[in-house]
Amino acid sequence: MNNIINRRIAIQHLLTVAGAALLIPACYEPSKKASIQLINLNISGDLETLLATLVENILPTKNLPKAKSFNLHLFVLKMVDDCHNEQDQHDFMEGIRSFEKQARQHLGKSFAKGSADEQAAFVQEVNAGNMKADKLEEFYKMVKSHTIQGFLYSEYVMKDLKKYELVPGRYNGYAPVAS
Amino acid sequence: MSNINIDSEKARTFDAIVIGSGASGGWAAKELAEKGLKTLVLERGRPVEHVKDYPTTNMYPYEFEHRNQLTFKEQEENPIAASCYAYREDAKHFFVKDKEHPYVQEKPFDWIRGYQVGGKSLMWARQTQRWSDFDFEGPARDGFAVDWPIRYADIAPWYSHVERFAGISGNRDGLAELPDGDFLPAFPLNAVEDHFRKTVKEKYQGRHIISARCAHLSKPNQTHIDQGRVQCQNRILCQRGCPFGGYFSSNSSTLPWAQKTGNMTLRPFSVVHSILYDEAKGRATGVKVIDTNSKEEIDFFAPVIFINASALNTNLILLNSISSRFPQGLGNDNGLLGKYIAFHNYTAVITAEYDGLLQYKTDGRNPAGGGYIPRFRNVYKQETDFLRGYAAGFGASRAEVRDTSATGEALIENLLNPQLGPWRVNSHMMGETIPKESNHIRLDTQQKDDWGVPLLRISIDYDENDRKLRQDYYEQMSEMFQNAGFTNIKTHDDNRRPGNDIHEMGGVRMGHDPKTSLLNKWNQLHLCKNVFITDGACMTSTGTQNPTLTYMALAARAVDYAVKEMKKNGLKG
Repeated sequence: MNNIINRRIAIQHLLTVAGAALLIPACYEPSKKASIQLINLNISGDLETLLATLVENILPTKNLPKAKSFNLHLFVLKMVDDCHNEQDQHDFMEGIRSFEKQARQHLGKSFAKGSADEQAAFVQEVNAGNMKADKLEEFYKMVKSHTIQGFLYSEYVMKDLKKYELVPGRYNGYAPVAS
Repeated sequence: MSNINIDSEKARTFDAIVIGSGASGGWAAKELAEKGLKTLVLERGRPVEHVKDYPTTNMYPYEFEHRNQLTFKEQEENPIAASCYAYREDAKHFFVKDKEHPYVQEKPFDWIRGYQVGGKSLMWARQTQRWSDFDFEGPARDGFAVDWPIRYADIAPWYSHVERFAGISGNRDGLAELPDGDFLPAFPLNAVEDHFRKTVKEKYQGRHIISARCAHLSKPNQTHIDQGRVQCQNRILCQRGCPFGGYFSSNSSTLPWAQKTGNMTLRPFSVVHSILYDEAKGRATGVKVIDTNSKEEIDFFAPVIFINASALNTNLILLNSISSRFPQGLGNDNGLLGKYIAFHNYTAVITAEYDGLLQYKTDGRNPAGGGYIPRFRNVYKQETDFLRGYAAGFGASRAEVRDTSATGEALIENLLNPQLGPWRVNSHMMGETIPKESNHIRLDTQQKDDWGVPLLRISIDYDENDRKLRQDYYEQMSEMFQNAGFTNIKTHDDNRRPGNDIHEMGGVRMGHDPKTSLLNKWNQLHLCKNVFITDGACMTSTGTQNPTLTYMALAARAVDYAVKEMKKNGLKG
């Protein structure tokens, strides 16, 4: 019961956002919720899939060891949900809708349904700042910076690749730079 | 605690009571217990046992939910605590949250507190420099506050005593304005810090860049190994508590040592409400404690009491210790208790770059943080239009620069293969502030905390001298930077509020005369001789040095005196 009401509210909320009407396609179907619990962001399963696809395009981890452990898109959501202010969170939600809207305009389909090449090309354009849409830039910046943060601060990079030493046990202030 | 039978006055009577278990209280406890006194140490916060209670100490950065960032909510709810550089995901459990312990800011003041066994000695910045006579003679020479009742010679042996046990790394630099101590080997300057040292030495008389002196075991002695501490491992995760005991804290050093004597009883969850004063005897007889779990009021008794509750809380306890003999607070006939509070002016930072010495980088981490510049202004004589001067930190590092512009495989490639950036250098000012009567704290007459203790009202601000001093720092440091070939020199007004330096001092100042000071040259209340105060509250002036080493030395010195006097005449004098 509660779920239904919440979904209705969510849909109404979507409708009140300027331009969001375009986002409600004829084929709209109620989707699953996001796979992690969020306090401030209202992320459906579809939006989560979209974000996961975008993040994988920004920084592909599928071929890396421990590919499944990265979950960078969930880290992005966690950080935006917990560590950003309300304005940023609002921009994030606006921006993710703008992103999908632009994708539909350019690819003729939902971003997540595009081919790998279509997705990559589209992300390239967004990355280059060639897509102008409401809060798209703000959204993309948040996604990319937390994707990079999540990657650099991952067990794979810090521990496996030894980019971080927990116990250096030394200090040399005149270490030669290898030429 | 089960061995304390609170129903029996005898069981609540000790040879000595120490209020507070931070750096200075830990030292008082260790010295008293070593001298055979059954010592009760009261700590308002929770227990923190060395190693066992450092929950984050061995965590990798990726193991923190937010990669060591604060959440927005945490920042919003804790504007005071979150203003401290060390209040982050890995150490936030050692800081007081704003809502837990409110106070009244008549003027903006960041009161950074650590309410647990070990106090702020767990998260301190570990910089340790001795005072010199240029500091002790400052008030008398320059006509502010009152004359310190001690000089360097009085405290020098106690600095040594503390340094040998705590373990202080540093070079013997031979500077009159920053006396050498009993040092472990220094952490070296890096290539660019050293370059700056050479430049300044060549071009300026009386200005020195030295290795920062800090409370780290660069090379432990038997004394430190006996404490269960080993060599610092250059982790620089100190604020989490160190499993190696690589830096000094009460938890790693003085408290376990006091415990080993069998003479210390440590009682956490014990807020001190006030000092009990017996008018007939003309002395303090004990302390009134509120147990923060049971909210019970319990009196403890001892013939000598050390108050090391941290500067402002020590003031608060005295102000709240009201008797018909002392209606304005214990020992406060002259009305100066809570006045002449001072701090360190940390409002200036300078950054720059250096494109030389690119054949070098740093490897590993330097727990000392780099270089230290002792005060060079107005040392031998007054030479500027402001009083006193500033010390400064100085550090250089080469950051790894990552190109984050691409996407896809190219981005991964760039992230995993960073380029070495230019040398970046930075300096921050640590200015002396002049104690003034108007910079004061007092008790709120209406509001009380959960334990029935009045809230503190804090009224402390910068003044014109602080602003002039900052301007001079900018000018002098910029010039020194230019001379060293640094480029892109930028000054940054660090608009931090007073208190954020976490060096608040005074309110119960030492002095010769009971009419103008609260404590005598032995840190003993002029008017209540069996109460000693050896934390930041006792400071007559602030110097430019990081103050903790001085508090620890004063604590050890005062215990030595107190115990000798007790044997002589029971501290009645």
